[in-house]
Amino acid sequence: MTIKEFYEKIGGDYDEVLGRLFSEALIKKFLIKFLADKSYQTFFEEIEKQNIEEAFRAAHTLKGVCQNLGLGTLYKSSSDIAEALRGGQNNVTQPMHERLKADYEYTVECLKAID
Amino acid sequence: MPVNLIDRLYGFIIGNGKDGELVKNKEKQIYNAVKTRFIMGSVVIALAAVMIGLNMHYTTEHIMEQVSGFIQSAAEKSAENLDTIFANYKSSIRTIGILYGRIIQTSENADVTRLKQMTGEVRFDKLVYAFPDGKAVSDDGAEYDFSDNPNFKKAISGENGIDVSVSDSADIKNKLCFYAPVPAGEKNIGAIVGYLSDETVYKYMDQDILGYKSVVFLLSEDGTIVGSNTTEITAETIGQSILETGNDSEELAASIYDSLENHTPLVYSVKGINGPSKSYLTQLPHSGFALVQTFPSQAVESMRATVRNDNNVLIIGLIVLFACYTILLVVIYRRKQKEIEQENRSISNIITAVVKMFDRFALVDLDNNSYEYVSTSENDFFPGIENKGDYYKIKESIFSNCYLHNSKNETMASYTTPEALREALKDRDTLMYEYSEEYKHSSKFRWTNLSVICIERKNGVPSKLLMACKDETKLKIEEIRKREMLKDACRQAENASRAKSDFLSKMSHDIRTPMNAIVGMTALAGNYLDDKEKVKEYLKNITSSSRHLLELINEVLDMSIIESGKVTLSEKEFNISDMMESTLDMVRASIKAKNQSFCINIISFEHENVIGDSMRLQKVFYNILSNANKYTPENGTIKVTICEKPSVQDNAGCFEFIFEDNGIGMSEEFLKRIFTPFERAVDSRVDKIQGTGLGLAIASNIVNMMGGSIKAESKVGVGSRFTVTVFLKLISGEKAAPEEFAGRRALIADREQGTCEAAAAMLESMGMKAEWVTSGSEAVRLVAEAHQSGEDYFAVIVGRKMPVMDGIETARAIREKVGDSVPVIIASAFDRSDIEGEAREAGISLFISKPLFKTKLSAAFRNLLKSGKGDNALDGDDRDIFKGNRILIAEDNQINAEIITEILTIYGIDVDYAENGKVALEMIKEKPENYYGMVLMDIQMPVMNGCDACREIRKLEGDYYRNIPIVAITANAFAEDISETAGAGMNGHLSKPIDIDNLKSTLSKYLK
Repeated sequence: MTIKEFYEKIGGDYDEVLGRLFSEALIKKFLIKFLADKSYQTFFEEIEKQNIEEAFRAAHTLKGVCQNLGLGTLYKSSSDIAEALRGGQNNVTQPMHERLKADYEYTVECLKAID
Repeated sequence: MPVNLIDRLYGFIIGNGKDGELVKNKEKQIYNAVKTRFIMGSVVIALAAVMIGLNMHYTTEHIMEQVSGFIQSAAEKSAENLDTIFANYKSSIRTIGILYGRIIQTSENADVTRLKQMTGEVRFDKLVYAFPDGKAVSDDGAEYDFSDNPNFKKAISGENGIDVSVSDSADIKNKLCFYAPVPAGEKNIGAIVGYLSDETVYKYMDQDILGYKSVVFLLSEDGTIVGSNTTEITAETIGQSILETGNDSEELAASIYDSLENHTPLVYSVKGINGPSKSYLTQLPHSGFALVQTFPSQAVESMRATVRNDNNVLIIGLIVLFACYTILLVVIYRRKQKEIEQENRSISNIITAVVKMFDRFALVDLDNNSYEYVSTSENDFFPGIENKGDYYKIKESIFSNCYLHNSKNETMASYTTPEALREALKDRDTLMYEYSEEYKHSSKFRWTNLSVICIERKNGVPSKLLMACKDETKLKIEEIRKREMLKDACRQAENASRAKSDFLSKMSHDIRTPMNAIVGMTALAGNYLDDKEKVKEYLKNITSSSRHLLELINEVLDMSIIESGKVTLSEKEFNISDMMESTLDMVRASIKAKNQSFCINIISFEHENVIGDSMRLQKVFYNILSNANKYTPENGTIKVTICEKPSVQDNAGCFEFIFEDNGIGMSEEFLKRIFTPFERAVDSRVDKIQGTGLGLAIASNIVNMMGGSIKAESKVGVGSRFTVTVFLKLISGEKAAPEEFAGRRALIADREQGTCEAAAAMLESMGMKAEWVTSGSEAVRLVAEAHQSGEDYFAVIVGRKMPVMDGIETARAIREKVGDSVPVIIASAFDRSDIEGEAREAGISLFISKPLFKTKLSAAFRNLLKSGKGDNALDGDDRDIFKGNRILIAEDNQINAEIITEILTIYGIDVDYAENGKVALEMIKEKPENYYGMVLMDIQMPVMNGCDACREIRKLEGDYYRNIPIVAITANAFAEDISETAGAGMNGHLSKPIDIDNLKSTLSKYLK
């Protein structure tokens, strides 16, 4: 699967990412790094502990990374979570959790399929 | 005003109804008072005069009494005197008779010589010797016959006596004679008679009283005057004498003769030459004569004169006194008159003034049902009204269409009946009514103030009234207007208050949520005191809820600070292009999220660098744009137009920013309140949209503080348009347009003619030759023509969206026609990411974001010059352009940090990495000064966030720490976050996701 195909699959904008990051090589490099990013895991750990602030930061970071890498659907679901946690409130609903989980898993799955 | 009006009013006021009486009456009063005093004075004087007269009269009588007493004693004395003298003469003649008898012895011896000897010794005026036969001889030798002489007969018979002489017998005129016998032995040999002449008698009787001659008569028993001391009296008897002196009174004569006969003394009044006097008649006891002496009338007169003189002095005194009194009265009268005049003038002034205050007057006599009417108004409302007439009738005609204040039913007619007026004035003297009156044949109203003054009462019941009317229409209209204004103000205040309450209730709801969390968590923590882990968790939650609460409260406080006008605007240089870019960064994500189409245009723009409060301006634009975003449905359109207008001020530019959307719009009614704090439209469409209702109020306040204006236009369901006009100071000596592109040709193709013109003007200001077209095909044609003529354009800028042939198609067509010889730049307001691949494919050389500011165009052109043409610019020639710089990146997320590091490394920049703010701070402190050329700082970081780190760095000693550029990297930034970065001392910000163009322009701004 090419990078472009990957973006088409996950509902991201390849051209946009390319516009910012110039080369596919770079994009690929960063995408692989994304697999090592622990923000997603951190979020669940913190939310489990009712540690809203830390959970927010994790979601926010995840969102930022997705934004930089143009990971469309995951960006959307992580952004929603971050907004739901903004200001120390916990307005995150179960469907939001589930969606984030689904999006993340799908994205990771796709990522792993890149040549 | 009629001249006699005041006089008439005087008449009215004093209540007699007659004209002009007041002055006269008052004068009359004074005149009468003075007159009374004058008369009283006169009476006193007259009484005094009578007293003096009476006194005079009594004094005269008193004088006469005194005179009587005086003359009595004088006359008694004279009588005694004369009697003694006469007695002496009588004894003298007897002695002479005896002596002469002894000498002659016999009558024969008698001779004149011897007689003469006798004469020498006595003081008789004539001495006669009579022989016994009656022959007589005098001492002067004359001879007489005394034979019939009674005195001779008495003497020869031996009698010695005194008598009135008998003139015919002795031929002498002497009045008194004394006789005695001449004895010789036993026989009388003759008789001797001595005569006293009138002169001698006169001499004896001569008397003066008080220096005046007192007339004395010697009377015989029958009243014949036998002697007197005056020669002026020719009368022979006392009776004649009385007549002569004018005392024509028989009664008096009778009493005189009575007195003579009875030998009783008598005092009587006589009229003297000089006035009344007194005479006294008394007897000489021995000689048988009577004597009348009169008090000299001159003396009486002089006595009276003395008294009179005294009285005269008194009278003159009185007259002088009276004159003084009169003068005094006159002076008092004059003074009073002056006072009255003064008073009249004052009253006249007062009345004139009062008359001016009122328009109409009427004097009403309730008892007689009559009135008198005066109008002072130039345009009398009742031209037909009679000056006098029947009160009841006139009242009905005037007042029946007048309505009492605030009453539609009660007319003044019922309030002005004599009965009603009497009742109303029972306990007081004045009444006041305010009534409105309809003009006949007109819907207009007139307001009148009617004063009723009771000026006369009979037995306490009002009988005469003065009615004064005053037109108050103007005042009333003004009053009504003011009342309305007050009502409006009140309504507004109420609305504001209600809005505030509403806002507070909303806010309190928002506040309650974190508050509940805090309270709840605190309670839970209390339950698990032993479980450290749980308590820690709860405390964490409490902290985060408290922070949220604090944020919320801060927002409200900020708003109230702006509202109270305590905010001061900063004056800093900034670039409008940058500021707009930052603003758009803040809303881009939301706009994209709602898939709204966004376009931004510049219509002429001269000055990009200005002085002002960019943060606040950004806040204004953000508030407007975020509203546009919020209230415009998905796929809607938001359009921004920027325009620099000709400014009237030398050193300030006038900038207009227009924000349009095709969203839900606002009702006209809400549009009026849109800038009022706490207002949010009550609308089911917006219930779900969050907001404090402060955004536009804050925006409006800021713009007003900047001396600009903000205007809102909207239509429900159509959209809204906000126009912000601000004046910003220009930087004097702003850098001249870069000359590096001078003379080069550029072509602009955009569907908007305005955009084309603005861009062309901008390029021309840079010294370039600009052409523009509004369609892609036209652009392609021109490019081909230019290519053929060997004068290729330096650059072609195409708008992304154009009808028929869009930007990408145009670029493709150009590439087909002229190959790669001409760079094509595509200008897009926003979402270029979705077309980027296609664009590259089509041969687009560069992307440029709208609006087309000068600095952006210059940067793009510079890129073109550097890179030659095409894609190579992206990774090829940019390599190492910032070589030799070192940047510190603070970013908690490794991937993000790596992405940036990667890009920066391409540019030849050395990058150090810190995972949070605290580490970054330590690193800066550790490294020598000027080690880093710049810091890129993420905001959201654990341990120490970007803002705190920046604050700490700025606090360090040294210019390096104060000046090192620190740029924030923000994701999906909120306006507040951006404000905070500036507040913390950051120089600018970059938004995530990292955009190479933005990053590069930021780097070129701060790096060598």
